[in-house]
Amino acid sequence: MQGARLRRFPFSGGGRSARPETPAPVEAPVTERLPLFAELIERAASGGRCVVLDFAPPSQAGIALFNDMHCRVDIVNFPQALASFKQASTAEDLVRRIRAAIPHDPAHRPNVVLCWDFLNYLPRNVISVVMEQVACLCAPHAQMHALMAYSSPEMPAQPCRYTPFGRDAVEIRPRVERMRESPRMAPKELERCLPGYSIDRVMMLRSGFQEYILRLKGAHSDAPPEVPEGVLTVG
Amino acid sequence: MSAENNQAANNPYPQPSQTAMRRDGASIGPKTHIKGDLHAEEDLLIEGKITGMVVLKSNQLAVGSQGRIVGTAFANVVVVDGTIEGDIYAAERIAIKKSARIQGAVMAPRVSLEDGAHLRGSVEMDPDAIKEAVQAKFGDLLQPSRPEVKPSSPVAAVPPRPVAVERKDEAVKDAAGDKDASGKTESNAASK
Repeated sequence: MQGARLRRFPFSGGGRSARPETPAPVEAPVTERLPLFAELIERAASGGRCVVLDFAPPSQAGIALFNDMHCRVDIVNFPQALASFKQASTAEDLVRRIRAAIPHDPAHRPNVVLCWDFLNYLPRNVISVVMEQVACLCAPHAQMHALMAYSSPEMPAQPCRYTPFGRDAVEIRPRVERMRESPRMAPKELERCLPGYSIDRVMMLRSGFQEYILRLKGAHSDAPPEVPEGVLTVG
Repeated sequence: MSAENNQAANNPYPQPSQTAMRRDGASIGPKTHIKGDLHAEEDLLIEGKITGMVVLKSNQLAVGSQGRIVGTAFANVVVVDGTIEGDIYAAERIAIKKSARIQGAVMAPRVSLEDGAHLRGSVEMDPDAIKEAVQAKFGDLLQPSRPEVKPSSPVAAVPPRPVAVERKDEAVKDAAGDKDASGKTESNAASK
Protein backbone atom coordinates (compact mmCIF):
# COMPACT_ATOMS: atom_id res chain seq x y z
CA MET A 1 0.00 0.00 0.00
CA GLN A 2 3.01 2.32 0.00
CA GLY A 3 2.56 5.37 -2.13
CA ALA A 4 -1.16 4.91 -2.41
CA ARG A 5 -3.20 8.04 -2.55
CA LEU A 6 -6.17 7.57 -0.32
CA ARG A 7 -8.83 10.18 -0.73
CA ARG A 8 -12.52 10.58 -1.16
CA PHE A 9 -14.30 9.58 -4.30
CA PRO A 10 -14.59 12.56 -6.57
CA PHE A 11 -18.29 11.91 -6.92
CA SER A 12 -19.13 11.72 -3.23
CA GLY A 13 -19.94 15.36 -2.74
CA GLY A 14 -22.97 14.58 -0.62
CA GLY A 15 -24.43 18.07 -0.67
CA ARG A 16 -25.05 18.26 -4.40
CA SER A 17 -28.43 17.39 -5.76
CA ALA A 18 -28.80 14.68 -8.35
CA ARG A 19 -28.41 16.13 -11.80
CA PRO A 20 -28.46 13.36 -14.39
CA GLU A 21 -26.32 14.02 -17.46
CA THR A 22 -24.43 16.83 -15.69
CA PRO A 23 -20.98 17.25 -17.22
CA ALA A 24 -18.19 16.71 -14.72
CA PRO A 25 -14.40 16.76 -14.98
CA VAL A 26 -12.39 13.61 -15.65
CA GLU A 27 -10.70 12.54 -12.45
CA ALA A 28 -7.44 10.75 -11.74
CA PRO A 29 -7.55 7.24 -10.24
CA VAL A 30 -8.30 7.06 -6.54
CA THR A 31 -7.53 4.30 -4.08
CA GLU A 32 -10.08 3.07 -1.57
CA ARG A 33 -9.47 0.67 1.29
CA LEU A 34 -11.99 -2.17 1.38
CA PRO A 35 -11.90 -3.99 4.73
CA LEU A 36 -14.46 -6.62 3.75
CA PHE A 37 -12.76 -7.29 0.43
CA ALA A 38 -9.50 -7.81 2.34
CA GLU A 39 -11.19 -10.36 4.61
CA LEU A 40 -12.76 -12.14 1.64
CA ILE A 41 -9.45 -12.39 -0.20
CA GLU A 42 -7.68 -13.56 2.94
CA ARG A 43 -10.21 -16.35 3.44
CA ALA A 44 -10.05 -17.31 -0.22
CA ALA A 45 -6.26 -17.38 -0.22
CA SER A 46 -6.02 -19.50 2.90
CA GLY A 47 -8.75 -21.94 1.90
CA GLY A 48 -8.72 -24.67 -0.70
CA ARG A 49 -9.61 -24.40 -4.35
CA CYS A 50 -10.88 -20.90 -5.21
CA VAL A 51 -12.87 -19.98 -8.30
CA VAL A 52 -13.58 -16.26 -8.75
CA LEU A 53 -16.31 -14.77 -10.93
CA ASP A 54 -15.09 -11.24 -11.59
CA PHE A 55 -17.45 -8.62 -13.04
CA ALA A 56 -14.68 -6.29 -14.14
CA PRO A 57 -12.57 -5.97 -17.26
CA PRO A 58 -9.35 -8.00 -16.95
CA SER A 59 -6.46 -6.05 -15.46
CA GLN A 60 -2.79 -6.62 -14.77
CA ALA A 61 -3.28 -6.03 -11.03
CA GLY A 62 -6.28 -8.35 -10.83
CA ILE A 63 -4.53 -11.20 -12.61
CA ALA A 64 -1.42 -10.68 -10.44
CA LEU A 65 -3.52 -10.89 -7.26
CA PHE A 66 -5.28 -14.07 -8.32
CA ASN A 67 -2.05 -15.56 -9.68
CA ASP A 68 -0.64 -15.47 -6.16
CA MET A 69 -3.71 -17.35 -4.96
CA HIS A 70 -3.31 -20.07 -7.63
CA CYS A 71 -7.00 -19.80 -8.42
CA ARG A 72 -9.29 -19.71 -11.42
CA VAL A 73 -10.91 -16.47 -12.54
CA ASP A 74 -13.97 -16.33 -14.78
CA ILE A 75 -14.06 -12.87 -16.30
CA VAL A 76 -17.22 -10.97 -17.18
CA ASN A 77 -16.45 -7.64 -18.77
CA PHE A 78 -19.40 -5.89 -17.16
CA PRO A 79 -19.39 -2.63 -19.17
CA GLN A 80 -19.61 -4.76 -22.32
CA ALA A 81 -22.25 -7.00 -20.78
CA LEU A 82 -24.30 -3.99 -19.68
CA ALA A 83 -24.33 -2.71 -23.25
CA SER A 84 -25.66 -6.11 -24.32
CA PHE A 85 -28.29 -6.18 -21.57
CA LYS A 86 -29.59 -2.78 -22.68
CA GLN A 87 -30.37 -4.24 -26.10
CA ALA A 88 -32.55 -7.00 -24.66
CA SER A 89 -36.01 -6.88 -26.17
CA THR A 90 -37.77 -9.34 -23.86
CA ALA A 91 -37.19 -10.92 -20.48
CA GLU A 92 -36.20 -14.18 -22.18
CA ASP A 93 -33.74 -12.29 -24.35
CA LEU A 94 -32.25 -10.64 -21.26
CA VAL A 95 -31.73 -14.01 -19.59
CA ARG A 96 -30.13 -15.37 -22.75
CA ARG A 97 -27.75 -12.41 -22.83
CA ILE A 98 -26.87 -12.83 -19.16
CA ARG A 99 -26.05 -16.51 -19.70
CA ALA A 100 -23.96 -15.65 -22.74
CA ALA A 101 -21.99 -12.98 -20.89
CA ILE A 102 -20.91 -15.22 -18.01
CA PRO A 103 -18.30 -17.90 -18.76
CA HIS A 104 -19.36 -21.13 -17.14
CA ASP A 105 -17.86 -24.55 -16.63
CA PRO A 106 -19.97 -26.82 -14.39
CA ALA A 107 -16.77 -28.49 -13.20
CA HIS A 108 -15.49 -25.18 -11.83
CA ARG A 109 -18.29 -23.36 -10.02
CA PRO A 110 -17.33 -19.96 -8.58
CA ASN A 111 -17.21 -19.66 -4.80
CA VAL A 112 -16.27 -15.96 -4.82
CA VAL A 113 -18.14 -13.34 -6.87
CA LEU A 114 -16.72 -9.84 -7.26
CA CYS A 115 -19.50 -7.50 -8.34
CA TRP A 116 -17.73 -4.20 -7.62
CA ASP A 117 -20.25 -1.43 -8.42
CA PHE A 118 -22.23 -3.07 -11.20
CA LEU A 119 -25.43 -3.55 -9.21
CA ASN A 120 -25.70 0.26 -9.07
CA TYR A 121 -26.29 0.27 -12.82
CA LEU A 122 -29.17 -2.18 -12.90
CA PRO A 123 -32.82 -1.52 -12.07
CA ARG A 124 -34.06 -3.43 -9.04
CA ASN A 125 -36.04 -6.05 -10.98
CA VAL A 126 -33.06 -6.65 -13.30
CA ILE A 127 -30.71 -7.07 -10.31
CA SER A 128 -32.94 -9.94 -9.19
CA VAL A 129 -32.82 -11.62 -12.59
CA VAL A 130 -29.05 -11.21 -13.08
CA MET A 131 -28.14 -12.41 -9.62
CA GLU A 132 -30.53 -15.34 -9.83
CA GLN A 133 -28.68 -16.44 -12.96
CA VAL A 134 -25.38 -15.96 -11.15
CA ALA A 135 -26.66 -18.07 -8.26
CA CYS A 136 -27.39 -20.93 -10.64
CA LEU A 137 -23.78 -20.96 -11.79
CA CYS A 138 -22.12 -20.67 -8.39
CA ALA A 139 -21.08 -23.21 -5.79
CA PRO A 140 -23.36 -23.57 -2.75
CA HIS A 141 -22.73 -20.86 -0.15
CA ALA A 142 -20.59 -18.80 -2.54
CA GLN A 143 -19.69 -15.36 -1.24
CA MET A 144 -20.26 -12.15 -3.15
CA HIS A 145 -18.59 -8.76 -2.75
CA ALA A 146 -20.43 -5.63 -3.85
CA LEU A 147 -20.19 -1.86 -3.54
CA MET A 148 -23.47 0.06 -3.48
CA ALA A 149 -23.66 3.83 -3.81
CA TYR A 150 -25.53 5.01 -0.74
CA SER A 151 -24.85 8.38 0.83
CA SER A 152 -24.00 10.25 -2.36
CA PRO A 153 -27.02 11.34 -4.42
CA GLU A 154 -25.17 10.93 -7.72
CA MET A 155 -22.56 8.72 -9.30
CA PRO A 156 -20.81 8.42 -12.68
CA ALA A 157 -23.23 7.60 -15.48
CA GLN A 158 -20.96 4.74 -16.62
CA PRO A 159 -19.45 2.03 -14.40
CA CYS A 160 -15.98 2.83 -13.07
CA ARG A 161 -12.96 0.67 -13.72
CA TYR A 162 -11.94 -1.23 -10.59
CA THR A 163 -8.57 -2.89 -10.15
CA PRO A 164 -7.36 -4.53 -6.94
CA PHE A 165 -4.61 -2.60 -5.19
CA GLY A 166 -2.83 -5.15 -3.04
CA ARG A 167 -5.13 -7.40 -1.05
CA ASP A 168 -6.99 -4.76 0.93
CA ALA A 169 -7.74 -1.91 -1.44
CA VAL A 170 -8.97 -1.08 -4.89
CA GLU A 171 -7.94 1.51 -7.43
CA ILE A 172 -10.88 3.23 -9.07
CA ARG A 173 -10.74 5.11 -12.32
CA PRO A 174 -13.94 7.11 -12.31
CA ARG A 175 -15.63 7.95 -15.55
CA VAL A 176 -17.28 11.13 -14.44
CA GLU A 177 -17.84 12.83 -17.76
CA ARG A 178 -21.53 12.43 -16.95
CA MET A 179 -23.30 11.84 -13.67
CA ARG A 180 -26.55 10.13 -12.86
CA GLU A 181 -28.70 9.60 -9.83
CA SER A 182 -27.36 6.93 -7.50
CA PRO A 183 -29.72 4.16 -6.36
CA ARG A 184 -29.03 4.74 -2.62
CA MET A 185 -30.34 1.30 -1.82
CA ALA A 186 -30.53 0.37 1.85
CA PRO A 187 -29.35 -3.09 2.96
CA LYS A 188 -32.91 -4.30 3.57
CA GLU A 189 -33.94 -3.17 0.11
CA LEU A 190 -30.98 -4.97 -1.46
CA GLU A 191 -31.83 -8.11 0.46
CA ARG A 192 -35.37 -7.96 -0.93
CA CYS A 193 -33.92 -7.77 -4.46
CA LEU A 194 -31.74 -10.81 -3.77
CA PRO A 195 -33.96 -13.46 -2.19
CA GLY A 196 -31.37 -16.18 -2.85
CA TYR A 197 -28.68 -14.36 -0.86
CA SER A 198 -28.20 -13.27 2.72
CA ILE A 199 -26.13 -10.30 3.85
CA ASP A 200 -23.13 -11.49 5.87
CA ARG A 201 -21.52 -8.11 6.52
CA VAL A 202 -22.05 -4.52 5.45
CA MET A 203 -19.77 -1.57 6.08
CA MET A 204 -20.12 2.11 5.28
CA LEU A 205 -17.06 3.45 3.49
CA ARG A 206 -15.89 7.04 3.74
CA SER A 207 -16.49 7.38 0.02
CA GLY A 208 -20.21 7.05 0.55
CA PHE A 209 -20.35 3.48 -0.72
CA GLN A 210 -21.61 0.57 1.30
CA GLU A 211 -19.39 -2.46 1.07
CA TYR A 212 -21.26 -5.77 1.19
CA ILE A 213 -20.40 -9.41 1.66
CA LEU A 214 -23.37 -11.53 0.65
CA ARG A 215 -23.67 -15.29 0.73
CA LEU A 216 -25.67 -17.69 -1.36
CA LYS A 217 -28.27 -19.31 0.87
CA GLY A 218 -27.75 -22.83 -0.48
CA ALA A 219 -27.35 -24.97 -3.54
CA HIS A 220 -29.16 -23.74 -6.64
CA SER A 221 -30.33 -25.72 -9.60
CA ASP A 222 -28.15 -25.43 -12.69
CA ALA A 223 -31.29 -25.04 -14.77
CA PRO A 224 -32.17 -21.44 -15.62
CA PRO A 225 -34.79 -20.05 -13.22
CA GLU A 226 -38.20 -19.05 -14.45
CA VAL A 227 -38.25 -15.79 -16.28
CA PRO A 228 -40.61 -13.16 -14.81
CA GLU A 229 -43.44 -12.03 -16.99
CA GLY A 230 -43.25 -8.71 -18.78
CA VAL A 231 -40.43 -6.75 -20.32
CA LEU A 232 -37.39 -5.91 -18.21
CA THR A 233 -35.68 -2.70 -19.19
CA VAL A 234 -32.05 -2.13 -18.30
CA GLY A 235 -31.75 1.61 -17.72
CA MET B 1 8.02 -23.30 -42.72
CA SER B 2 11.52 -22.37 -41.52
CA ALA B 3 12.79 -18.91 -40.65
CA GLU B 4 15.01 -18.96 -43.73
CA ASN B 5 12.00 -19.51 -45.97
CA ASN B 6 10.17 -16.60 -44.45
CA GLN B 7 13.05 -14.20 -44.77
CA ALA B 8 13.40 -14.93 -48.44
CA ALA B 9 12.12 -12.98 -51.38
CA ASN B 10 10.85 -9.44 -51.16
CA ASN B 11 10.26 -9.09 -47.45
CA PRO B 12 6.88 -10.80 -47.02
CA TYR B 13 6.27 -8.99 -43.73
CA PRO B 14 4.90 -5.46 -43.99
CA GLN B 15 5.96 -4.71 -40.41
CA PRO B 16 8.28 -6.66 -38.16
CA SER B 17 6.47 -8.15 -35.20
CA GLN B 18 6.97 -6.59 -31.80
CA THR B 19 6.71 -10.00 -30.22
CA ALA B 20 9.86 -11.21 -28.54
CA MET B 21 11.09 -14.33 -30.28
CA ARG B 22 14.25 -16.29 -30.49
CA ARG B 23 15.95 -15.60 -33.76
CA ASP B 24 16.32 -19.25 -34.65
CA GLY B 25 12.60 -19.99 -34.40
CA ALA B 26 10.23 -20.66 -37.27
CA SER B 27 7.56 -18.23 -38.35
CA ILE B 28 4.37 -18.13 -40.36
CA GLY B 29 3.83 -15.00 -42.41
CA PRO B 30 0.76 -12.76 -42.41
CA LYS B 31 -0.41 -13.97 -45.82
CA THR B 32 -0.43 -17.62 -44.80
CA HIS B 33 -3.53 -19.49 -43.63
CA ILE B 34 -3.03 -23.02 -42.40
CA LYS B 35 -6.03 -25.28 -41.89
CA GLY B 36 -5.18 -28.25 -39.74
CA ASP B 37 -3.16 -29.12 -36.69
CA LEU B 38 0.38 -27.86 -36.37
CA HIS B 39 3.04 -29.57 -34.27
CA ALA B 40 6.50 -28.10 -33.82
CA GLU B 41 9.59 -28.72 -31.73
CA GLU B 42 11.08 -25.27 -32.12
CA ASP B 43 9.98 -21.75 -31.23
CA LEU B 44 7.26 -20.46 -33.50
CA LEU B 45 6.02 -16.99 -34.40
CA ILE B 46 2.60 -16.82 -35.99
CA GLU B 47 1.73 -13.70 -37.97
CA GLY B 48 -0.72 -15.53 -40.21
CA LYS B 49 -3.85 -17.50 -39.45
CA ILE B 50 -4.05 -21.05 -38.13
CA THR B 51 -7.38 -22.84 -38.04
CA GLY B 52 -6.65 -25.89 -35.94
CA MET B 53 -4.63 -27.00 -32.97
CA VAL B 54 -1.10 -25.68 -32.39
CA VAL B 55 1.13 -27.85 -30.18
CA LEU B 56 4.69 -26.97 -29.22
CA LYS B 57 5.94 -29.53 -26.75
CA SER B 58 8.60 -27.55 -24.99
CA ASN B 59 9.06 -24.32 -26.88
CA GLN B 60 7.74 -20.79 -27.11
CA LEU B 61 4.71 -19.86 -29.16
CA ALA B 62 4.31 -16.21 -30.09
CA VAL B 63 1.17 -14.94 -31.74
CA GLY B 64 2.18 -11.67 -33.38
CA SER B 65 -0.01 -8.63 -33.66
CA GLN B 66 -1.31 -9.84 -37.02
CA GLY B 67 -1.47 -13.47 -35.98
CA ARG B 68 -4.67 -15.38 -35.35
CA ILE B 69 -5.37 -18.86 -34.05
CA VAL B 70 -8.83 -20.38 -34.26
CA GLY B 71 -8.38 -23.45 -32.11
CA THR B 72 -6.48 -24.72 -29.11
CA ALA B 73 -2.83 -23.86 -28.47
CA PHE B 74 -0.26 -25.49 -26.20
CA ALA B 75 3.36 -24.52 -25.60
CA ASN B 76 5.86 -24.15 -22.81
CA VAL B 77 5.56 -20.35 -23.02
CA VAL B 78 2.90 -18.45 -24.96
CA VAL B 79 3.14 -14.74 -25.80
CA VAL B 80 0.01 -13.25 -27.33
CA ASP B 81 -0.04 -9.97 -29.25
CA GLY B 82 -2.74 -11.04 -31.69
CA THR B 83 -6.00 -12.96 -31.61
CA ILE B 84 -6.82 -16.40 -30.23
CA GLU B 85 -10.31 -17.90 -30.42
CA GLY B 86 -9.87 -21.02 -28.35
CA ASP B 87 -8.21 -22.28 -25.21
CA ILE B 88 -4.53 -21.59 -24.49
CA TYR B 89 -2.40 -23.91 -22.37
CA ALA B 90 1.18 -23.28 -21.23
CA ALA B 91 3.39 -25.45 -19.06
CA GLU B 92 5.27 -22.43 -17.76
CA ARG B 93 3.62 -19.06 -18.47
CA ILE B 94 1.38 -17.02 -20.71
CA ALA B 95 2.00 -13.33 -21.42
CA ILE B 96 -0.97 -11.40 -22.81
CA LYS B 97 -0.04 -8.07 -24.38
CA LYS B 98 -2.33 -5.07 -24.56
CA SER B 99 -3.13 -5.59 -28.24
CA ALA B 100 -4.24 -9.19 -27.63
CA ARG B 101 -7.81 -10.39 -28.14
CA ILE B 102 -8.61 -13.73 -26.54
CA GLN B 103 -11.86 -15.61 -26.35
CA GLY B 104 -11.47 -18.81 -24.39
CA ALA B 105 -9.73 -20.25 -21.37
CA VAL B 106 -6.17 -19.28 -20.48
CA MET B 107 -4.35 -21.94 -18.46
CA ALA B 108 -0.85 -21.50 -17.05
CA PRO B 109 0.81 -21.44 -13.62
CA ARG B 110 1.97 -17.89 -14.35
CA VAL B 111 -0.16 -15.45 -16.32
CA SER B 112 0.63 -11.81 -17.01
CA LEU B 113 -1.78 -9.46 -18.70
CA GLU B 114 -1.29 -5.91 -19.86
CA ASP B 115 -4.11 -3.45 -19.23
CA GLY B 116 -6.13 -2.94 -22.37
CA ALA B 117 -5.99 -6.57 -23.50
CA HIS B 118 -9.36 -8.07 -24.44
CA LEU B 119 -10.02 -11.33 -22.65
CA ARG B 120 -13.38 -13.03 -22.62
CA GLY B 121 -13.30 -16.28 -20.76
CA SER B 122 -11.43 -17.79 -17.85
CA VAL B 123 -7.92 -17.72 -16.44
CA GLU B 124 -6.84 -20.90 -14.67
CA MET B 125 -3.74 -20.50 -12.49
CA ASP B 126 -4.05 -23.54 -10.22
CA PRO B 127 -1.09 -25.82 -11.12
CA ASP B 128 -2.98 -29.00 -10.21
CA ALA B 129 -6.02 -28.07 -12.31
CA ILE B 130 -3.76 -27.10 -15.23
CA LYS B 131 -1.85 -30.39 -15.04
CA GLU B 132 -5.13 -32.29 -15.09
CA ALA B 133 -6.50 -30.28 -18.01
CA VAL B 134 -3.31 -30.62 -20.06
CA GLN B 135 -3.18 -34.35 -19.42
CA ALA B 136 -6.81 -34.73 -20.48
CA LYS B 137 -6.41 -32.62 -23.62
CA PHE B 138 -2.85 -33.38 -24.77
CA GLY B 139 -1.85 -36.52 -22.85
CA ASP B 140 -1.19 -38.64 -25.92
CA LEU B 141 0.52 -35.87 -27.85
CA LEU B 142 2.93 -35.04 -25.07
CA GLN B 143 4.23 -38.58 -24.53
CA PRO B 144 8.01 -38.71 -25.15
CA SER B 145 8.93 -40.09 -28.57
CA ARG B 146 10.25 -43.64 -28.73
CA PRO B 147 13.96 -43.74 -29.65
CA GLU B 148 13.49 -45.96 -32.70
CA VAL B 149 11.21 -43.48 -34.47
CA LYS B 150 13.49 -40.49 -33.94
CA PRO B 151 14.83 -39.26 -37.29
CA SER B 152 18.60 -39.09 -37.47
CA SER B 153 18.46 -36.25 -39.97
CA PRO B 154 17.77 -32.68 -38.83
CA VAL B 155 15.31 -32.29 -41.75
CA ALA B 156 12.15 -33.81 -40.35
CA ALA B 157 10.25 -33.89 -43.63
CA VAL B 158 12.74 -36.27 -45.31
CA PRO B 159 12.47 -39.90 -44.20
CA PRO B 160 15.65 -41.41 -42.78
CA ARG B 161 17.90 -42.74 -45.46
CA PRO B 162 18.81 -46.42 -45.35
CA VAL B 163 22.28 -47.36 -44.26
CA ALA B 164 24.45 -48.15 -47.25
CA VAL B 165 25.34 -51.81 -47.37
CA GLU B 166 27.29 -53.75 -49.87
CA ARG B 167 24.95 -55.87 -51.99
CA LYS B 168 26.08 -58.59 -54.30
CA ASP B 169 23.14 -58.69 -56.72
CA GLU B 170 23.90 -57.22 -60.13
CA ALA B 171 20.95 -54.84 -60.24
CA VAL B 172 22.20 -52.87 -57.28
CA LYS B 173 25.74 -52.82 -58.65
CA ASP B 174 24.49 -51.43 -61.99
CA ALA B 175 22.35 -48.80 -60.34
CA ALA B 176 25.22 -47.63 -58.19
CA GLY B 177 27.71 -47.68 -60.99
CA ASP B 178 27.50 -44.00 -61.95
CA LYS B 179 26.84 -42.65 -58.43
CA ASP B 180 29.25 -41.49 -55.76
CA ALA B 181 31.31 -44.00 -53.82
CA SER B 182 29.21 -43.79 -50.66
CA GLY B 183 26.18 -45.16 -52.42
CA LYS B 184 23.90 -42.71 -50.49
CA THR B 185 21.68 -41.72 -53.40
CA GLU B 186 17.95 -41.56 -53.90
CA SER B 187 18.07 -44.34 -56.52
CA ASN B 188 20.03 -46.52 -54.16
CA ALA B 189 17.54 -45.81 -51.43
CA ALA B 190 14.70 -46.66 -53.74
CA SER B 191 16.17 -50.03 -54.52
CA LYS B 192 16.10 -51.06 -50.89
